[in-house]
Amino acid sequence: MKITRLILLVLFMGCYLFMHTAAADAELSCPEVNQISVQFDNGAAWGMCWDSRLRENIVLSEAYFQPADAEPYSVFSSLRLSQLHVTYDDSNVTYNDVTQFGLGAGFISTLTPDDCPNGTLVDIGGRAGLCYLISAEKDTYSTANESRQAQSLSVFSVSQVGAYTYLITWKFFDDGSVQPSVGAAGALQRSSDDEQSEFGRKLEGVPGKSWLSHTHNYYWRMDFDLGDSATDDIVSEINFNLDGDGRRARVQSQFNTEVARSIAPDTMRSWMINDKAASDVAPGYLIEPVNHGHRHVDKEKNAFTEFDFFVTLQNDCERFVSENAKFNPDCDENILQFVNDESLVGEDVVLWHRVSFHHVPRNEDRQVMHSHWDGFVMEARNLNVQTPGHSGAVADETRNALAATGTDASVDPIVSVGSGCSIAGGTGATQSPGLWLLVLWACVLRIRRAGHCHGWAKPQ
Amino acid sequence: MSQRFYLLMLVCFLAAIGSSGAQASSSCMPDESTASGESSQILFERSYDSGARWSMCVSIDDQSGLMVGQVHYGAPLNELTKVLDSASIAQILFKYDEDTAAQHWLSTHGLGAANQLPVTAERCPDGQIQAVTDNVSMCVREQNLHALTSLRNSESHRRRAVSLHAWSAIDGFVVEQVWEFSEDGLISPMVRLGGVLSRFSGNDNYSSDIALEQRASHATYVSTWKLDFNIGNTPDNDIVEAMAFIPHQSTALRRVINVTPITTESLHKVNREQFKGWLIRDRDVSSGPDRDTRIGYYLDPQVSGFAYASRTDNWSVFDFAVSAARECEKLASGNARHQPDCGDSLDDYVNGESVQNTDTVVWFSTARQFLPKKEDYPALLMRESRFTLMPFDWTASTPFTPVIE
Repeated sequence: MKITRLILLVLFMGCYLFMHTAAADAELSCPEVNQISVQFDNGAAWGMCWDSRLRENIVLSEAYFQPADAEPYSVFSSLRLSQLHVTYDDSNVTYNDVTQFGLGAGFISTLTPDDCPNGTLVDIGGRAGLCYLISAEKDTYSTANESRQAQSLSVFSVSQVGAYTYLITWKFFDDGSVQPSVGAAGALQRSSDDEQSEFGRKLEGVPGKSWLSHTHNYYWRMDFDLGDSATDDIVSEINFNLDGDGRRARVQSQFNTEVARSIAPDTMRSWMINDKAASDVAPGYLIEPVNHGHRHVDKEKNAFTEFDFFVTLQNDCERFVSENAKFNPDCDENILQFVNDESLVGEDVVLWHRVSFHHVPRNEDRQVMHSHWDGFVMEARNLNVQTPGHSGAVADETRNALAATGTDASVDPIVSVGSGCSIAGGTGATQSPGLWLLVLWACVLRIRRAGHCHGWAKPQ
Repeated sequence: MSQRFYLLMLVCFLAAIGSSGAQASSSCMPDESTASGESSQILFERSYDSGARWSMCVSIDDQSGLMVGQVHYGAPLNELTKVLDSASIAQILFKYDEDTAAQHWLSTHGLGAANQLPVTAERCPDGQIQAVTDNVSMCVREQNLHALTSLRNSESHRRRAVSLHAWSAIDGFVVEQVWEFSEDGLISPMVRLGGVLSRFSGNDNYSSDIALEQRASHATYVSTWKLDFNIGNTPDNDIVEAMAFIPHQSTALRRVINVTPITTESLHKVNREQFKGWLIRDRDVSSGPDRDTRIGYYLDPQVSGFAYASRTDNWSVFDFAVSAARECEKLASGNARHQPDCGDSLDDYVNGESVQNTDTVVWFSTARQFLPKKEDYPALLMRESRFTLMPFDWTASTPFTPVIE
């Protein structure tokens, strides 16, 4: 008994030290006042630094995700809205709101506690300019027997540019997924004195005018740094090709040089970034361009609008999708010039993605618009070794399906891969020894209780 | 905002609350049988401090699951006005990528009856469990959408929404049906796919390694909704228009609005470069003094980034369809199995008949890919398909803040 107790004590201390070290790994380099760090009910956590800049306003950096009972995992070196185009249907002028005006400094709207319910207001330049809060979301999973509600961290700031109010928002979910979005509110900016204008609509109560339709083109810049190295992320493109019998085969191609790519709705084209290898099981993120019912293309004046997704080498002076040289004179002017066939192999890579929204004025837009939202999701993949927050119970349908393929489904398959409480970090071979201590510890406990160690204590 | 405005809002709100029950209940009788005779319906109402209100009937259909009917929206300071006669999910085609044919979930299995999952407290956290029939309940959730509406130097306004949820089990999958109604009149139908993995494959082209001993199969699915608009409670005078924004001959950047009434039953695809959308509006009712506009709802296919492909179900490769309303045309496919005297699919319903001066139904589809990952074991992380119907010229100006010229 004494030996057993000694082993337990040593294992407990080992686990404690491991967890303590893991937390230390997530320490952020920014001042405490610039840190955002939250933990969700499922045990997962997000941490990051924020900064406010004159042009982009909110820039998030050093963002890490920490699954429950696992070590922090680096995800992003930086995140920002990189350009916001507004093009009115009656003219050939495109406004570059980020570089012509800016979203930071005097453009930031002061927030009130009502704007940030149960959240934290953060001071920017002497006024409340940023809010972060945790929200309840819809179910993260739902089976016949078990379900769990998701949570998210929202970080947002509001900028007033002309008559428009932009709500620049980043949502970080408790499974590791991230959703950038922009809400556009405020008031309609431009009208025509021709109430019969073919470029807009006449609205009620405003004689002699029509209000002009326009496009918002949002571009986000994401500098991924997955895992422990910034230079081993792999970006690939996935297409599903239909054969003559109706089957759809996945074709995944790795990008080795900088690229500019367009959506391909018929092949459900998507893009993946993985840590170390473009494999199914490597931690990474998937971008599916589903919010692309609109595409703003202007090949004549802005050739880069022909593309929706870009991969470039990380370069600090490549900040803005357009009008970049205005603030970075030693650098190229636009995103298409950044894409110049440089090799991505063994380099720090940056992803850029755009979403277009065409705004047709309606009566309700006068005088204060209801916010209309656009964005996309970066879906976390394999950052958790199994469904986060789930009991681990395997459903009969899954056991039967596994049995049908000849797999022995009598034993919980998750035990067979030895990844019961581990985390992301890639393959099983890279999992932390500290977590194996936890597994061993649990086995010891189970031996003491049941006389054997079979199955990783997953409730069935 | 002036005190006078607040007072006006309060008076109108109180007046509206006092009359809303009678208006809505006149067309939604609890326990009234539906056309199929298989389910009953309840009255559901919600009102907000702003004065905005929703009123509708809710029922559970054996095939379509959660259905809403007699849907009325009242903007602040405005009376309740009918939007939809009925709306429901009308088919989910689910096809494993290695298969040659899709499964038609609603017609083969159905989302109601024995496939309806009980709504437990765990499934409805922070929500209210509300009985729809003696045996079936739904979950009602209130949400703060954290969607500010603001203008420099003015107050901000937060938007709230109520959503109705029901869950069904099909072959290990769980289909969550959601209808979300926001304070400012948006309607967001959703299908959320969950459950558990129930198919594995050895073929790398059609499956993903998820660190089990077998690879999980890929799939594609398309969700189709049926929306029977009845704007202003005059079913025969709704007009469906395709709105496109055509590049001007002088430069591609200038775009001319092009409105084309859809006058016959037809199938349509999105046009991403022309920003095509569809407006369903009343022919006569205007919200403004000038009568330049008519009240309606706009379906902007912003979520249509993916296109479905099928060799057997022609209708499913289209995003939008218009048909004349027929009670027996309930499902987008497999309909004749349950309605033997009716057409089998949208390909049968859409046959060039006129939709002018008649009750019109629109159908909308959106496609998604299912690519399994480690987190999908033992339970799938939910995948969501949704779209939004937006009130369009429903009021003469925003009903939430006073107009200052």
